[in-house]
Amino acid sequence: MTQIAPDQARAFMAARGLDDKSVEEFARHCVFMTVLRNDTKKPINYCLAEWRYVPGDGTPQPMLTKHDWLARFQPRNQSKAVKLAFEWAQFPVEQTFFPGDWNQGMTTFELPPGSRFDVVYRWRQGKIRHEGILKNVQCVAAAVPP
Amino acid sequence: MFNVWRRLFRLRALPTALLCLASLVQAADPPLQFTLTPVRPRLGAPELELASVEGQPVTLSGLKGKVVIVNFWATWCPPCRREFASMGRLRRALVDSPLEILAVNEGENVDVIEGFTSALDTPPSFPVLLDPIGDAMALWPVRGLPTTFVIDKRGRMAYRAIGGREFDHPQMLSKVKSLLREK
Repeated sequence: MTQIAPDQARAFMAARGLDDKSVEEFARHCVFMTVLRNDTKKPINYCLAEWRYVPGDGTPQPMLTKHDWLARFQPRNQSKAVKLAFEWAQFPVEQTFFPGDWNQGMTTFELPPGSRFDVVYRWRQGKIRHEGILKNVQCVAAAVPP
Repeated sequence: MFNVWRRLFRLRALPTALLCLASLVQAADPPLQFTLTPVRPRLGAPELELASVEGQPVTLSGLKGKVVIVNFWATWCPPCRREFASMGRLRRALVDSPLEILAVNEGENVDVIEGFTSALDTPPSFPVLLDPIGDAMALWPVRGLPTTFVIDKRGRMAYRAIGGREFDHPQMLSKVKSLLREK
């Protein structure tokens, strides 16, 4: 995971044509470029709905997905092309990766820049469920317009 | 915009991931892969009926008898950008073969696409198609970009690849050549 700083998130989404209000809303969250790759010899699958982040208060929370964001943006009536770019820039909500398959996309957390949290990521291989934890992920604060 | 992705703050791996069978990768530029997953049984590929950036109509069904690589991509997608040139190298390596590559761009206009392709060392030697609102891609089993399918001469999906690939890697070349030898 690599943080996408607020200004970078802002620039990326503005360049895709997202309206100013939506751009600001998105950039005020912790955004990470996330890569998941299957380095094994068997297929794996994951579902983002099973992943959690654990902020300072210790309460596991579901991650924001593209569906959550599109629902928030819905009243703003974005064009189909803008929604397409936004949607496909996000980390896929579900995938089956055969050996060598991978994706790179944005993951977002309902936290402001400056937060620290753990990420619990889960996947299945056959009938076996696996889990890993990225501890103490830092979402660095950056200048955000008032 | 690609530079934006490259200038990101780095958050380094924790060894936890390395203990797992599948790993989260923390590098900004993960390595391109060279695997192709067989589609079994081979399924008929959905139709593609799109215009190229030059305005020429292109259909997948019109390419029966050829092996066709269908690549769904966008210029804002870092692995899509990184793998793009290797499709050109693959095309050149098999220049006399019945092979076609269709690069289906998702949601961008000609100016944006040409801004990217014109900066390549070699302009694409294959059609770049426009899928302005994703209607064509919606008919294909695509959940993330880039996703690539290799279509056999009978119009069936023979291989699939999710994520960036080095298309002219010997391992990939070998599989494409094998398909080209099929009737």
